[in-house]
Amino acid sequence: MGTFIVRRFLQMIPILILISLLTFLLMRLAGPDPAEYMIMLNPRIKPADILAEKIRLGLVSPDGKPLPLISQYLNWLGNLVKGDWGWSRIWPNQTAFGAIMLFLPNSLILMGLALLLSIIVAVPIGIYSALKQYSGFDYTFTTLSFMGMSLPTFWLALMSIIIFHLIPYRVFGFPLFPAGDIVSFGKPFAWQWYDRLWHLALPVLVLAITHMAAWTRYMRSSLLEVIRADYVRTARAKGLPESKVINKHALRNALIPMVTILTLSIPGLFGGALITETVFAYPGVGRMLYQAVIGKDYAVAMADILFLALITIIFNLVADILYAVVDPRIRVS
Amino acid sequence: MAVADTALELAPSFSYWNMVWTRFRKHKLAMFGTIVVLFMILVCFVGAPVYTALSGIDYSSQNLKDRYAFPSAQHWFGTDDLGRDVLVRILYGGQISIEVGLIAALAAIVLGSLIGVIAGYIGGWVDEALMRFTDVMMSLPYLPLYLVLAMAFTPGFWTLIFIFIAFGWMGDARLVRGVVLSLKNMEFVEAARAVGASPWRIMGTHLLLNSMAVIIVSTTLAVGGNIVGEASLSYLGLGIQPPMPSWGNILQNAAEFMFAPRNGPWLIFYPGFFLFLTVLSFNFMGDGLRDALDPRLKNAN
Repeated sequence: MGTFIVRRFLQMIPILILISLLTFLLMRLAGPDPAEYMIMLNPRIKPADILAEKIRLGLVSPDGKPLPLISQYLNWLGNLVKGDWGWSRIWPNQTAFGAIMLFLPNSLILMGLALLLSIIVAVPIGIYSALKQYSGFDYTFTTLSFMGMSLPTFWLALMSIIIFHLIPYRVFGFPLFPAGDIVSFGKPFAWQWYDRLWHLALPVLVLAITHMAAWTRYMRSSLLEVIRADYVRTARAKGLPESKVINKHALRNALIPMVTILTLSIPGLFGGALITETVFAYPGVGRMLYQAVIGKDYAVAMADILFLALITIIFNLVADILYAVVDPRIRVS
Repeated sequence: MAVADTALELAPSFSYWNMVWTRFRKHKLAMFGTIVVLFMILVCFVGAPVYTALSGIDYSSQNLKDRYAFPSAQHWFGTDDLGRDVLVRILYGGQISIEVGLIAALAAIVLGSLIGVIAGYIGGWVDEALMRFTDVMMSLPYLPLYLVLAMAFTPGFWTLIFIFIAFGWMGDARLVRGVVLSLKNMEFVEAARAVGASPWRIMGTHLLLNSMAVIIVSTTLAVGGNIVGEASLSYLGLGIQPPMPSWGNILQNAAEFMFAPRNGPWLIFYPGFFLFLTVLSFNFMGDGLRDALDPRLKNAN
């Protein structure tokens, strides 16, 4: 087990290098270099300072000659390893690392709640659907989950704003839920926990619905597979009450693949949150990446993409390990 | 002799595709999906140009005196912030969305099947290298990379298609490889090898043709995914660029003016509903095709 984890960790390194190289080249192809963009933002910066910044960033050699892209990349990587992630262009006085740390807590709250809500809803529905296969309940929720999987996240988000914000606002003169942001700025109750929850309601609901659908299906098919297994028939044959057969024998085994699927979908939550956060103007890492890419904030965009890639790879690894932990039949080699 | 004759009469010969069609027809949701998809293609690719030819109104015709009009007999879905007819824009936008979805899905399946069949049939280090590459591609955070790719190249039709191909082939490659691995030691492949068929012929005709069930299902489901992807990127302003409409950028435009005093919720409802209905229909079709083409796959998810 120990060597397995170490080896998987070592395998992560080439993947991260590949991703960073890919994004670095793409970002550099997208326009002028990051130092040039600084002067567009602040005309008072002197050309000499820009040159010094370019040398510091490793874009040109100390005598002012442009370096080939690959050495630019190596210099950038060197700075990254040394802890110099570069300064943000659109968030003043923030390093790229600082910008991520600024927005990460918001994202974690949003995703944590969405994850919790979708599991609480999806798992019981999936279980009940499987136990009553081909019943009206099963058909209804199988069809509904199919619909949920086809729902474009941003449309769902927009419609929820219309239904819970725009229409109540036009009809009653006040919205049921806010359309964006994290707190009611300038109000005495701003930053109270209920104010934050009130602002989280719609984004959490939208994010949860998009994941609920898939998980209901997974839970259902996972339990259906187990219910047909021989040992479940044996458990019934030896006279165990049905509740014990389901709870002790079927359900526990059906939850094993769910653990993996849940772990693997966490990086996807970050990705899906990008759209949800953008629609609701919710200041999380997803919207930050979008703003950084649009605003050509190289340092932040690169740092954010590497951060997301790291999360993706780490959770892939965690899923593999958890799979072996919860299911002793799996031998990791 | 007489017994054999009766048996033949009792079991008329059904071709594979005959049985597929019989099973597919029984899948109500899949039939619903097929009809909706055909209807969408008809109204978008035939209805919209015919309407333009008759009335002279196309997706960019503005009428600033008639902005934010309510849905009426003249403008079924109302007009937007520039007085453009929303229905006409949705239909032209549908052309783009469906084209992106189909072209990218077909190209990705060609690439994916090629990689999958080569990896599965040749095996050895080729398989190892191709599958490692597939794993790496699958572990990339694709939405952030979409953003960067769309920025690095000029956003537009072909950039979108390129992105969906580049990130769409991995699942197909794995599926086809799996089928090929299960088939390649079967007698019919051995027989083909024995009569001297070249590896390319075995891969092309024998293995790929027998992976058709998986390939068709995967392509159908990918179309829906690509259409959502196109809409999402266009919504973020990194996909199809105005004035060319797509379901994504119509919604982006509507969302921008969402809080305008005269703006109606239908400006957001209708384009999204077309998008949702089309994607849902492709997914229903894919589900029905899975059950019809290979009933063994039914609960395999």
